[in-house]
Amino acid sequence: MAVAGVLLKRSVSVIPVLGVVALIAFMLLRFASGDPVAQLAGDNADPAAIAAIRARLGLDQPLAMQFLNWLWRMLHGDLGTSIVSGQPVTALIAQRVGPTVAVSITTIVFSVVVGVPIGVLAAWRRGGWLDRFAMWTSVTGFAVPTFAIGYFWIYLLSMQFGLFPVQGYVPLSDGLGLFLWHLTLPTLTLSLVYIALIARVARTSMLEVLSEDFVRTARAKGLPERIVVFKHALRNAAVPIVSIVGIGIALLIGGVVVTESVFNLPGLGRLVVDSVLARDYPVIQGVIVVFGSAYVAINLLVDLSYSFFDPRISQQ
Amino acid sequence: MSEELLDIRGLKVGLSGEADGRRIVKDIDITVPSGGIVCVVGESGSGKSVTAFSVMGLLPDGLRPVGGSIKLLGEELLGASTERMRALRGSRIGMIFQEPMTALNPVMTVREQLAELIEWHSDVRPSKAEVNRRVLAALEDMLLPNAPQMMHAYPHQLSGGQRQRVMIAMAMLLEPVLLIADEPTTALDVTTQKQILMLIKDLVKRKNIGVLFITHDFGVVADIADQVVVMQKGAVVESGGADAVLGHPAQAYTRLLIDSVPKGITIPTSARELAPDVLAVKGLKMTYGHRGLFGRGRVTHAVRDAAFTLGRGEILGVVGESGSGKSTLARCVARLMKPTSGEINLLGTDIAAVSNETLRPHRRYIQVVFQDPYRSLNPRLSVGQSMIEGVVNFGASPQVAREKVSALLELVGMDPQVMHRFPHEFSGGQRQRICIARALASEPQILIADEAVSALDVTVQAQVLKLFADLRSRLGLAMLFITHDLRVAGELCDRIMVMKSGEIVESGPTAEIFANPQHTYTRALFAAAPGRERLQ
Amino acid sequence: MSAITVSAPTSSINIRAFAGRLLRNRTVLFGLCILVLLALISIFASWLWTVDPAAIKPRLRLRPPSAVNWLGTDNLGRDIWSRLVYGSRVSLVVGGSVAFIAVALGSLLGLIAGMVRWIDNVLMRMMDGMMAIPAILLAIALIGGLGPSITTICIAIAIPEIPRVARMVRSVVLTVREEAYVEAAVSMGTRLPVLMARHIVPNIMAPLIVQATYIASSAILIEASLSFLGIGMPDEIPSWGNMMSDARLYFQVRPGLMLFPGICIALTVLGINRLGDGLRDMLDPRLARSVGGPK
Repeated sequence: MAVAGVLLKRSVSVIPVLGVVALIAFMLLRFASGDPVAQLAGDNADPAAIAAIRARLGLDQPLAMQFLNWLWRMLHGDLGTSIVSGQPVTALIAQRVGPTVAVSITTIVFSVVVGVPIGVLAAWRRGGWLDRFAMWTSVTGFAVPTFAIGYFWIYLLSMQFGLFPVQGYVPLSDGLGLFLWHLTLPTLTLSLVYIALIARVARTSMLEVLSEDFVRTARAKGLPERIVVFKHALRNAAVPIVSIVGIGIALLIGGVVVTESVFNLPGLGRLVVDSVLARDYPVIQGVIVVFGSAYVAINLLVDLSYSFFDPRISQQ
Repeated sequence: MSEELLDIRGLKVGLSGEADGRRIVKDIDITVPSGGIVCVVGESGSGKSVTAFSVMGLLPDGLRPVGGSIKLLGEELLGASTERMRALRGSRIGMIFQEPMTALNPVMTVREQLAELIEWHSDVRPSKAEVNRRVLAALEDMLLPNAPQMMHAYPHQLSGGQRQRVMIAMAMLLEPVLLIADEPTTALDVTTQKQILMLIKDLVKRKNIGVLFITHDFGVVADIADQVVVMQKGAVVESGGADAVLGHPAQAYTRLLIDSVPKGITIPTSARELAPDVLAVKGLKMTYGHRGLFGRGRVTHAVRDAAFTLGRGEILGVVGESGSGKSTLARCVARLMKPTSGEINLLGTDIAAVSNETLRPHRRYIQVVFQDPYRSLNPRLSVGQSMIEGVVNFGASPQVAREKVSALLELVGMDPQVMHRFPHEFSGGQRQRICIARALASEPQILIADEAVSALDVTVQAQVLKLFADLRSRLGLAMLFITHDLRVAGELCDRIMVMKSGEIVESGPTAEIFANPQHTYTRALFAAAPGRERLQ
Repeated sequence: MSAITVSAPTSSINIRAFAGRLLRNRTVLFGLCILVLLALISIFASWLWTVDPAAIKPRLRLRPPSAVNWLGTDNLGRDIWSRLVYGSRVSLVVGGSVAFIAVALGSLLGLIAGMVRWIDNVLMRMMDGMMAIPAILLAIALIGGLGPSITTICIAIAIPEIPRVARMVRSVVLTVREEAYVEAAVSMGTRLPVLMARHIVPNIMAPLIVQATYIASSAILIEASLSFLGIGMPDEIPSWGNMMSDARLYFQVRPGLMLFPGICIALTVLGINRLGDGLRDMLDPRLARSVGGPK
């Protein structure tokens, strides 16, 4: 099938997934123990006022209707208004998206650059010192809570050596150096788990590929070992690695939420935590929809990239 | 006599961990001359592939040569440096493998895979045009059609035969003096196998190379060998000129191997026309739909309009190459899949379209023995537990079932005590016997054997075939015998149907088909059967 | 057939032999030791020279380690040692119950999806949607809705794990269904419930146990993160996460307040993960093969 056909087919297939994300976000409001309307109206509001607010928010309509209305408005770029600040949710998200995207990108780049070679070399010399080192790093990386890693870096690199700022965020517009300087500790914090994940998958995938026949063929052709490993084997091991980078985005976002609190970054994670504490449901819903869509979009890209790594995939 | 190209003397290969422990290869001598094909033949576990990889210096982790010498044109290979071995591989020694699909890198084009060989084995980087010219010439030399386009194809876009030709082109690209072929035709269809064997023979003649050819198939040996080395359990049993070894084998084991090669008709087909039909299949179709996004889908016709009958006590062979639809036909008849349309009349009941619930009582009359004996038994259940399952399902008490099953184990030549053991304790042949006994436990009228002997070593295969023939005469069992190997079908079957691309192209009594094949495809299958002239 | 093939994987059958293998595996042994130790500590918490972990003594705030308070006191004068000991209970309860809920519901859904085709499509789209929302975010939102208590927190952490279990179980079911021995059973007239119980479910147990350990350890980490963010365990419960959350403000003066619970969490999670890794290597023949080398 043509590339455009594949593109279209894959893109259409994510629509139901996005629908489920929206449904979950919508249903969360229904689970809420406290009545957000009562909260919005204040302590002394009379029943008539509450009913009025209810009608204004469309909460007196049947559930399915409410969902469709909400979905319809969302498709037009309206995620509702914050109960607390009265600002549109889209505006709030737009203000906060910068730091989250910045630290996510630095983390992904750093983790791939470090994690893939570690995994490949660990598989190549299975049982060697690098393999053991990588295994223990990943075992530790998976065992320590993200925020504890953050405090470890703060203690070591900020408090002891004074190399990096303890907290805070500087936008890119203030200069690349300053921007990266402030992002270093958050990136190091978030990367550990991600590197561990990528290195592990790269190692497993490479181990599998290295035992395949065509690797033996490549050796039988008298190719140097580095060509056998990095050209023949790695290209075949790429799909699971790329795939874990995509799936790992969920883990990354989870880590971002915590890391932003540790380093006081004014991102979406802080926004959602503050909103939960304030029971600001429209904002929570909005952030969930945004994160969910980002995850789906990134994984769609990952999916489409498979055919670049493996020509067999585009044939289906 | 031509010069000695490869000289293996007293080669011993052992496990790396054990200094003087088990030997995988024990003290073997093999000599390959220029312009000659030496076949190393043996069953699985004979050490023949290990020998081949020792020459390449590519033994898997855990194995290492512990003694002897391997000399290529007088140069010792066993002590050679890693760098020297790397330089020799690909340039002086070429190698081809069993499964060309997995032996080629799936994500690189044919050109890339051939070109890198030139690039990494030359001191000065050749120009792109020069590389292209040589790659093209090599592909054309292997009689690959459309070589200029094929250069840019990926392995999965080629047929099995084309892939193996590409492999050979790659192995021969730098004009090596020695070609090592490790079961290069085992994974191929028989007609393709014939072409590849011809190609290798032709190369030997044209380029005066020596070939070390590893195989398990004496038919293939008979077709191409100049000299034969028979191996068993890591040691050489017998070696010598091909005519001598094939014609007058000195060792009993060699004779056993040669005798075990199926050669076509051995049992005279008695007239069974009066036997009542137990199975009648009419207009059976199986279609797989791949529905596209906009309804424009591709449709695969796995089986088209199959019609046949099977009489009581009759063995009907279904012969075809891969993709012919023979296995789909078997699975439809056993109702492991639901056919698209058609009629399967089993003992008077049409089971083609009935629900699973209606089907269940009829299942006992039709049982299947599968190809891979390693996957046909649940590894977590004891042999006994697996075997009584069917009998208990059809209403017997476990006690009765056990007694019945132990009698059946004796029938297939196994000790009834094996019931308490687990599948992993048995060899492939033993497992296949257990599977046959299990299939018989529900007293079926029809046994479907889906490539049931293809995964077995040739001597074991001969025993299992004998068991099938025996069961037929003792139990009056009807069989649908699915195979890719016309010779095997000829050994066992009363009638044969030949399938190609989902269609039954020819059917008739075995003797008639062997004596006078009508369809061109059947004739091609006969012409391609290895070892026809020399072993008859 | 090439001689250099690896013998087919065989599952271990004999339970006693398996237990023996289990205890000789150093990774598994390490994990088991930590878990057993933790279980003992949490059962006998009140005998381990502890005081009421919630007792506030404003005059004894932020004391260094002493004979009375072995590891010192926190910002409210509570005894760190006692809080650490009692905190093990919280972690074990959270890890255990989350793993149980997720595995029970997830494997049920996975089995259904693997066996019934039309449900499969609907169910898997639902699962895809749930997996698109990061686990911690979904848990945060759920707790925001349900209100924080130990029960709601366990549920909120367990729900995002359900799709992962369901997917794994489903994929095993789909693979095993294609096995020749399952087809043989079908052709011998074995009914669906028996087919599942006898041939399919046993294949799921091993990966399920392994996954349960990973879920338990990730639950402990998520609980800690939630408490750290201030939306986890109620303040009066002495959880390790709460202790670290309290320690934030005093991190520059008393890093130890964060260090001790951090080490406890890391050791617990490490133990559970090692147990899971060890079991996986023993139970997954595919990976075992890659370690064993040619035979």
